[in-house]
Amino acid sequence: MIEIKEVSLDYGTFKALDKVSLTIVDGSVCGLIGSNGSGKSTLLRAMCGVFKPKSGEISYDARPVYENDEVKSQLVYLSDEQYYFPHCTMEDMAQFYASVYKGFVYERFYALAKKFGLMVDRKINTFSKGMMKQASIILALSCDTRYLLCDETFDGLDPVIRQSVKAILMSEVADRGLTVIIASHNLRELEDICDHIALLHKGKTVLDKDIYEAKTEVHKIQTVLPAGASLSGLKVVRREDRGSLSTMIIKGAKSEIENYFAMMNPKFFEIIPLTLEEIFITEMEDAGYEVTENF
Amino acid sequence: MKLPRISDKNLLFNQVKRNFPMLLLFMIIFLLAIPLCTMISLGQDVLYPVNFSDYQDYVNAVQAYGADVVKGVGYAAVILSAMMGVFAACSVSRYLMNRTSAVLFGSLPVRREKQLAIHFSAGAFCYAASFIVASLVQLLVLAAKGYAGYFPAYLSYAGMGVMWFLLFYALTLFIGMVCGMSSMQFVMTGVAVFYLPATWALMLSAVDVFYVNTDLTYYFSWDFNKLLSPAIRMIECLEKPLGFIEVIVYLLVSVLLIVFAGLIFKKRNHAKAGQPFVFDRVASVVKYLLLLPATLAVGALFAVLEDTLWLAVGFFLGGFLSFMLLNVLFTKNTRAFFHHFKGFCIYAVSFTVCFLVLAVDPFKIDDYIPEIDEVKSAQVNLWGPGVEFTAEESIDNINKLVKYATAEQKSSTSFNNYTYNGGYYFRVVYKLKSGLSICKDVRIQETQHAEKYFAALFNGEEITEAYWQSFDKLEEIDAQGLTYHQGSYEYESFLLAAEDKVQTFKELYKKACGGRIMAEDRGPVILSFWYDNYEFPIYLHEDFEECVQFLTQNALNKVTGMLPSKDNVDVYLAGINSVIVYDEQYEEKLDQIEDPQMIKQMYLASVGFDRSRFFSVQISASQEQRVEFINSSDLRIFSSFLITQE
Repeated sequence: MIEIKEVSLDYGTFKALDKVSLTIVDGSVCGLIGSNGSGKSTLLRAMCGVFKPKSGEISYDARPVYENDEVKSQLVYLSDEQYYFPHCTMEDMAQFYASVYKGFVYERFYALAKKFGLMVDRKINTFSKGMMKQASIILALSCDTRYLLCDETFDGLDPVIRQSVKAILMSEVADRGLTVIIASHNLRELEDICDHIALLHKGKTVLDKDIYEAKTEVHKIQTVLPAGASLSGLKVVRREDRGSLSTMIIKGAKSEIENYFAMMNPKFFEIIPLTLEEIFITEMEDAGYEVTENF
Repeated sequence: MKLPRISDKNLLFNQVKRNFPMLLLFMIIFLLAIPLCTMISLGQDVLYPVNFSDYQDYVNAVQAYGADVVKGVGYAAVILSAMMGVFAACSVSRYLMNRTSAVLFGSLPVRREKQLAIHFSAGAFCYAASFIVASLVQLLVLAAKGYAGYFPAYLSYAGMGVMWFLLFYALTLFIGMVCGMSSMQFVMTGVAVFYLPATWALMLSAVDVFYVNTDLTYYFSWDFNKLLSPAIRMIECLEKPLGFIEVIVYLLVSVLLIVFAGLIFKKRNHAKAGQPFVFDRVASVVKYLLLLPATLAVGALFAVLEDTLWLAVGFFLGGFLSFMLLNVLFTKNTRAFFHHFKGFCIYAVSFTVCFLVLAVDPFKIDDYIPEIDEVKSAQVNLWGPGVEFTAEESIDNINKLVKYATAEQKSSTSFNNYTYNGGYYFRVVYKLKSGLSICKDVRIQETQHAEKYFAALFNGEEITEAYWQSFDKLEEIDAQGLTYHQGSYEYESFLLAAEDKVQTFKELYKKACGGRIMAEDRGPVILSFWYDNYEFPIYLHEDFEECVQFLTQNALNKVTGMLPSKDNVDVYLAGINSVIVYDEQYEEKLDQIEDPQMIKQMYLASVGFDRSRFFSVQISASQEQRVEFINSSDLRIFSSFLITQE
């Protein structure tokens, strides 16, 4: 289990992380979402021991990660910008990882490379951006660690490869209890595979919930209300009116909302499933982050 | 959970493998510069009959000489080792200079200190492996060519190379710990190596603009500067090997730099990889440190306009532009021109105060002439070697001369109205009892007053006893002077070795110089000679006839250039019993020739060539007294000559 307790980290005068707390259970897939500059990448880098938090603690199974080889050997970090040695091939990189990760599985490396159609003896600098990303995923998965920390991993992958990666990740989670932490802007991708989300805003945790739980707390309603109907008893996060049709996002239990509207006798009422993106925007707005303010 | 250990050897092997191109590059450079150069140079070392009248044949014959070849490649080994130290350190610390690689290495389950040690070892291994291979090949080449005797000489150069590599490697690595970019690491290494001598030189040149009477070049001696920069000591060590203590000190400094590098590494903010500096305070300190020489350097450009106002403009522009440029370079932000402008204002005010203090010289430092009781000795340099005076009478005479010259100088010259109307320059170095030294740059016009002061100085008792005695070492005189032949004067060379003639010459020289150096009517230069790397021109008028007569009698008539002629071989060689052939560089006695015919042939062989180039032969007039007959560095030609004779 990964425990992040009150972690703060500064870049000079800029507060990148401000008392972030998070708990990620083993075998889960956790999505780290948040606005640009919210601290997702910083948190991931602190989680893999690249940065030392100014305060707070990050531990894996109650053991701190910073400068702890034993803990770090159980995790592998997939950066948003992959680093490969100049003029090296995938095989060269595999040898390097194998010299660092004792459990590196060459069979898996070759099998995954074959599956993705990458030539292991070709120089990586001749790869396309997407192929480089695939190479990094293959190398990371071949390290056979318990934790995989991914930063914007699906960016630059074509839809087919994206699905393949998702499938591989899910099978790794199912087969050997891999714990995956993914930071991404692509909420649609996360929605498919995450069972837990953590929302960061200005270095703080805004939301840290099971994804299903999060979906039960916010609802999207389409309704045509009679004139003069009041919604003061509900927590309406967003409302958009087009003629008599109102679309609104409301926080609260589904049954309470249904009962409230039933009392108002609406001409039309429907609950539409919320996407993760809508949850993200809702929570962000709730945290004071107005999307329109930025344009 | 027990984790299996990752083998450090595997990691090291991986690093060496990744640095293999560097290893290969080092290997190629070393092999080209050391054994291959030796092989080619010694390959030309063919002993064949030399046609002495053919200059090119001569050159070819003397070019390759084992000691010189070994010395040459030794130079290469030392200089290349130092350069590779910088290059290797930049290369192995590159992983810290790139954000993505710093993140990758930071996330790996290997402690950072271990990673650094492995990278450091890999760089050192690349150098060591290539250097050892090149050195082994070098020893093989020397042995194959019959120069095995030069093994110790080469190995001493190799040892120096290793030491300088280590120092520059450690220094560059240390600097890399505070830099976030490889380019900045490289530049800052250059700054660290050359900052002190460069700044010192610029400061002296700036002060020199205002200090007319003080000779500041005295304070920029090689001996002093080698303390300011390891690079200068390194260049010097090729001629003047390092002492044991120095080696220990440099090794200790290298070790300390590595230790400090490790300590700083622990504090290093890896998030700042890719930024010029990873510590903001270091960037500020370096910026202001660089600002001073930059200001002085641009100011020096304006100094050629010889106007105080323009000099001030130069300093201001230098400071201001450098400040803006450094701001941009150190922040990688083109809009950061005026960052920390308050700091610049403080710097500008401080600099202006120093500038004004120099210009006004409120403490009259430039005019200061020490009192007699403060002075331990005073050295005066004219055309010859400096003569050190200690007697009060002499120091009093020197002080009078300097005071007179200083007063004249101040009244006639200024920075804005600099004129030079002839006269003499000389330097007076006062060594004070307090241990300090003051060096005065004296420029004196040719006047009767000046002549009077000089006469007092040079006719004093001390100069009679000390100054002329310094010429007692003179055993041979190589000079040019006026001779008289069949109604016309000629200016020709002559060479005196016989003791009685040298003595006569000395007397003549005393007469010629004494009290007349500064005379306005001193007459033409009728004799000049070289001694101890100084040229002595002699102006003679009263004893003109006596001198010319002497020179005519002793000149080497109708010789080619400066060399002895074939006509006077018997005269010249009279009294010479044997010729000792020396390897001058290593002071090794190679041969002793006593056969008069052979000596004569050798002498004749040397006629007609510029002896300052090729010969290194000393002729012994007696068992104890060696007379330097031909003074140079290569005796290959004589070896060839002797073999030809055999």
